[in-house]
Amino acid sequence: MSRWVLGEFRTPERMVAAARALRASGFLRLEAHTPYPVEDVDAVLGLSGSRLPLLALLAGVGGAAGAYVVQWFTQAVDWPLNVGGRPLHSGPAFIPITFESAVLAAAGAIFLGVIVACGLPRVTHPFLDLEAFRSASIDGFWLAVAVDGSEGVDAAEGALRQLGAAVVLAVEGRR
Amino acid sequence: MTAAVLTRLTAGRRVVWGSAAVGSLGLLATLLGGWAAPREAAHGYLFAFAYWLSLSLGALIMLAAFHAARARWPTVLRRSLEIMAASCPLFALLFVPVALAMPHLFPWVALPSSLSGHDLQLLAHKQPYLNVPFFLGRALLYFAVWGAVGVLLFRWSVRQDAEPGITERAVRITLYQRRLASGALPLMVLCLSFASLDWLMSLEPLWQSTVYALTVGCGAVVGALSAVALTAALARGAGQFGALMGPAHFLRLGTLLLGFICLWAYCGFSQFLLVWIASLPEEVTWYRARLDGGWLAVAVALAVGHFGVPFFLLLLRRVKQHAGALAAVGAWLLLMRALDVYWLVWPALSPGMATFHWTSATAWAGVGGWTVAAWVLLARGGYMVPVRDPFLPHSLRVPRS
Repeated sequence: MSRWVLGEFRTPERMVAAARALRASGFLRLEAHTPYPVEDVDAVLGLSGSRLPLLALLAGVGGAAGAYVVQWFTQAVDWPLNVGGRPLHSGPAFIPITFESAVLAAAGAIFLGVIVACGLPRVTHPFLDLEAFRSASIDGFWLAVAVDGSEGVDAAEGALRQLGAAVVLAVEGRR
Repeated sequence: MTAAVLTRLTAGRRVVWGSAAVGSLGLLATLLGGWAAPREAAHGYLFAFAYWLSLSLGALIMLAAFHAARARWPTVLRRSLEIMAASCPLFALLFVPVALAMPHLFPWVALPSSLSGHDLQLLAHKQPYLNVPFFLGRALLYFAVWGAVGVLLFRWSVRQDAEPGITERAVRITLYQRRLASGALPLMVLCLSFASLDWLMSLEPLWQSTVYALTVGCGAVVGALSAVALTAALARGAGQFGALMGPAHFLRLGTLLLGFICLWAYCGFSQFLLVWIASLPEEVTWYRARLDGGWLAVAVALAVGHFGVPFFLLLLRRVKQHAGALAAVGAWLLLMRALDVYWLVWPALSPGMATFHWTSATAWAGVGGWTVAAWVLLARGGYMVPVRDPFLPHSLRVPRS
């Protein structure tokens, strides 16, 4: 079971200011839920960099190497085939497939990586049971503070109220 | 944003005189070198001419494409493209030495004795297109088209600056720019395409490639975008356009650069692959001239330096968003552009043997000096951004992602 305390703010500026204040007072596991992208919030939340670029690079290099090796092995080693007198190992002719495989592997890795990183195919989340949280996709700017134990809930609730949250809710559930 | 915040560019008189002096000295040295070694000097001059003209034309094409696409974000950096594009008429003047040196450059003008009877027959067959009067007439047409569009787009933009605000007239000028640019874009690209065939490909008139012009055109745009990135990073003083550009603008500029690098590599490689795999005697000569005897190192340097390294660098958002980093990539690419044009031109003179003659360097400095002087002269006294463009406020507020 995970616990969160949610706070709703009426403007993006107040939410960003509250997030900054919360981080300063030691609440580090923050998440923002807003109807549209708020520009400064990434920096304030202190999110760690995405690991997707590295995944894409590895998949791309792997795809390229795999495609080249397959072509070389089938054309030059396993079943040597003389095509119009070209060398069996025709490097330039292998490049298009190699490049396309690199792109395909990288794109596929990103596609699947995003799905896994987002926790899909999960279709719901404890927050979505809250009627008030609907405003996160309309006009409310929500901060979620992940906490441990009931004293953590009390501390986070107090902090959010003090920072001017219009609605404060504690949520419990499976992540 | 009001015009009061932005100032007109007043400095730069020294740059104009300095560049013009370097340019004149360079051209004089090339001319003197031409007495001793006319063929070397002619090819060196053509290399320099093609390099600097390609920057100007790449800017013209990109500028017209932005107008045709009704792009709003590049408004803040558009003046730099306009200035580069408006320098086209200068190249009509700089074309005169190319025209005078034609017998030293193009085998179809002064037929070399080494040609076989079959080659002569082929050239005779190409005579209706490749002859001196038609060649010069076409050049005149190209310069007329590029010059008219480049100068008009620049002058309209400057006239718009003089409006007291975003008036009805200012809006109408933007409309005119878009109409002219969209209408003239196909014509200008066709002119660029034919010009690259005339001035570069016909150095070896027995060889042909249909993707050649596209490769040259993509290279031209790469050069122009690199030059914009470099000037934007240098012009970050108060009131200059680089200071108004944020990470979002540099990101988009870098993404465009990445796209055109890929397109350049795609065109260049597909030409190579088709020639390599068909392996026909009349086609491979062009690559034999450019891969044998030391040229292979240049070709590999181009593959790695003009595509490989900048491709991976420009994949990184951090590089694209950072003005200094993008400018460093741009400076590197401008160097690679020179290598690319050199690799296209010089092997026609010394096929299968990588050589260098000092007139290439003097001509490069000569044409470059005059070009830079013209750019700064056009920029002086004016704003560095189109201050009365209705979309400038939008451009200044482009969101980060």
